[in-house]
Amino acid sequence: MATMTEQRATSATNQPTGPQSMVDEASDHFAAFQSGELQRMTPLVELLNPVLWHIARSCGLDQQSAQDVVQCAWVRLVEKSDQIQNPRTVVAWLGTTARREAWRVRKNQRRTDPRANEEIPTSDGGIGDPADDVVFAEDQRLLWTHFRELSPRCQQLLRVICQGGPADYADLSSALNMPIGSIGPTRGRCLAALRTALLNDPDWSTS
Amino acid sequence: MTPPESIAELATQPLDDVDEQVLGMLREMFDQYDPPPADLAESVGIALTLSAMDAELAELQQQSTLAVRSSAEPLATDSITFTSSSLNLMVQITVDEDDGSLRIDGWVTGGGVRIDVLQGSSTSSATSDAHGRLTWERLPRRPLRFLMHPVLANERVVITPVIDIPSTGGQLSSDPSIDDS
Repeated sequence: MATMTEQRATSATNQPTGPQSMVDEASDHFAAFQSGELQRMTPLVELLNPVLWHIARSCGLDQQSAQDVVQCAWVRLVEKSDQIQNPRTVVAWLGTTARREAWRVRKNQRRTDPRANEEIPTSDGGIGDPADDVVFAEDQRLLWTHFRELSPRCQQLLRVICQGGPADYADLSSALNMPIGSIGPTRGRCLAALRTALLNDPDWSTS
Repeated sequence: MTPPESIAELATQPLDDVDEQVLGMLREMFDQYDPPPADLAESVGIALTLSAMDAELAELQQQSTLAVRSSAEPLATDSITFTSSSLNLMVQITVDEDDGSLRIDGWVTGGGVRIDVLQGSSTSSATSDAHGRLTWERLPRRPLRFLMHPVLANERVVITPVIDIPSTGGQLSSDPSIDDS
């Protein structure tokens, strides 16, 4: 990925005091793992599990299946670790593996459960409707309402990229096979749509 | 007021504070309503350990009606049988009516076979007697799987699929999606 350094530079100017990006951190851990520091797998797992979880869940899997998919992605990574030549690709590699495995599992489930027979599942993966939650803050309720009006693909993309920082969007979106921001972190159509919907909502305040 | 820009135009612009705020709130919302399970990292660690051991996945051979009975009768389940190239294991899982804990009676093909019950990150080991019998008592009521250590050094360890334990009543079931080897 030739544009990676460029993206990081852009991000660094936007966030001069920002922390190391997820991709940077993951790359450090994975490079160390590849060179024999096996214990570095533990912080790598902790760092990337939330992203993998939300990828699996946004493919419409139940919690148990999502957990299995995350485990499977890590097992594959360790099996193939010597074939990954650029440690900077580890986030995209793991995310892609998790997505493909999630779709494979879901396809199997569709065969046995006709209720799951829809081309693109709802991205909430059955988290229920936060709008039913009485303690749900008003701005969160509005966010949820507009989020749910996006296309399922956009919901999936935003659910996953919000787990990283701007410098990580390119890798996370490519893991979902929805590449955005080939030159620097642009917001992309999904975020543009959500943002527009919120800003046009008279009840939304950007406090 | 926002200028009336089209979404296509907005899409190509760099991120600003509003985007950061929206994404931050989305993250907060999903962290709150669908966080990764607390034991996800542990279960990944176990999966990696099993993979490093080159464990063989046992097949679920027989799973007859596995309703956990909730009457005052002994809460016996029917048996579950797992087969592998080296070892077969049959288990009966019983729920203690007083404290809801699990008792497992197992029979494995051979004496002196060590079998671990894995539940999240916790492990409970037992070794079969001369008749191949083993027992675990007072296990927490949560999903479990068995890890069998063959007696012969040249045989692979064997892991079973996960057995779901319903929190109340219901059916025990094995999760087929675990079979991804």
